[in-house]
Amino acid sequence: MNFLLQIFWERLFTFSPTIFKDRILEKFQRAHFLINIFYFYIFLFAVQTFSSFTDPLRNWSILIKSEELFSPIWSVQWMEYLDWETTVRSMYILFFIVSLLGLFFWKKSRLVRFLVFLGLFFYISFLASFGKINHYFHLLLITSFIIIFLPQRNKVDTTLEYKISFLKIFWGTQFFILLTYFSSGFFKIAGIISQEMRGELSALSSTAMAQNFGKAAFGSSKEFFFGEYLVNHPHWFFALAMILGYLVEFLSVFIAFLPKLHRLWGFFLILLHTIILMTIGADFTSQIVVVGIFILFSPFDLRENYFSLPKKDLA
Amino acid sequence: MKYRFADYFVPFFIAIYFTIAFSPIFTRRSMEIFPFFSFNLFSQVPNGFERYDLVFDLGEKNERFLIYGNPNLADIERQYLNGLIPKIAKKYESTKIFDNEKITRFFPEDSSVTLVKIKGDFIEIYKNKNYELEPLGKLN
Repeated sequence: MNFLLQIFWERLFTFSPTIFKDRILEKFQRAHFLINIFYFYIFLFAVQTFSSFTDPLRNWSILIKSEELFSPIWSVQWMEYLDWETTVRSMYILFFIVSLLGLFFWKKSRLVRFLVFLGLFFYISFLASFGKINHYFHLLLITSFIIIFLPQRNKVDTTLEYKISFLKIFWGTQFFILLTYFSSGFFKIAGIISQEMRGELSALSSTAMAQNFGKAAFGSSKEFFFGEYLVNHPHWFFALAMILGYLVEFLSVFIAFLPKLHRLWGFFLILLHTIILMTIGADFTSQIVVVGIFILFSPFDLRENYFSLPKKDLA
Repeated sequence: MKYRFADYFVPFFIAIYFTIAFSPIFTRRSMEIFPFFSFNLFSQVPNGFERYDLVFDLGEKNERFLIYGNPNLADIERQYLNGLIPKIAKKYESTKIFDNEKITRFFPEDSSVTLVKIKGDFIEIYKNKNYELEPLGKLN
């Protein structure tokens, strides 16, 4: 078992031998700050649940009137046995309270971090219980789970070991995020191969992106920013853009081991989600925030540029 | 020793998460387990499609679909029906029993209701509203 663990970490140290050695304090400070931002985003996410101007599939007033459409997934089946409106309102309030606690006490208490995860878990489970499990918030949820296991610090414990352990969990979260993209890219590239072997239209076709748009538009009856253009102007450029997108996803897992490419890859992934939003309407803006926090602003790339903290703050 | 936990947690958690996430793909089951990603979504480009729907007053002047092009459907209702109708249709195809308990409230009064399969190409249906309709059974 230890041998397997050694292999896992050795991969990282082979490519980035100094990742947990050089400038630990700076990396730790940045990672610590980013976790603050992460919990601030969860708080903001909880605040947004009360908005009446949000996405109709997240609008509290619509959901609360949709008891007849509620088809609970495994994690919220208990809601069927309680008074609907009281339960939904209580869940919203509790999520807000724990997200507020998380904002201030995440570093002091693992229990608080666990409660934040639980609040998010039930809220997202609830959203997934109206006929379709959307993936828009999965990354936010799983990231909040991994973060529970950041090391606990007592008042006097500010050792190097603690900081390295903190950074290892942070890197583990990055690795998880990038592995999800790799997996998605892997199956898309496998999809091209299998469709080409069957003689079907694949992502190499100039109409592939338009087909994906058509599928999303048919299912949602919505228009997307470049949708009509894609359908009316099939071009090899769109096939190339799709293949590039697949490659960005597929190569993601290797980037985890190359900290100097974290920012660039964070930017690529955010751009990818933006293009997806403009073409097939899949709204992964919440995931963009997670990628922004963990990959775009990665603490393992401390080269001097506009993402760096001013030197005096690190003193 | 106190801080060795991260060394174990990261690889173990990732191994467990991805094993569960990949299991429906490798066992060729179409199930989705929350909160695990379905990594094969949008992994293949559509080559035509078949979708189940209900048609009210099929063949009449006021023929209309329950889901496709229905402007009166709220987003949450559309999402719900997109998930429910295929299940009801598949059950109907195998047993000829129409489990309509959950959807009769969407039926307009005094209209005939027919379960249909819409077939076509996503680009064609978007651009020209061209599709084929295969009635599967009258439900009232």
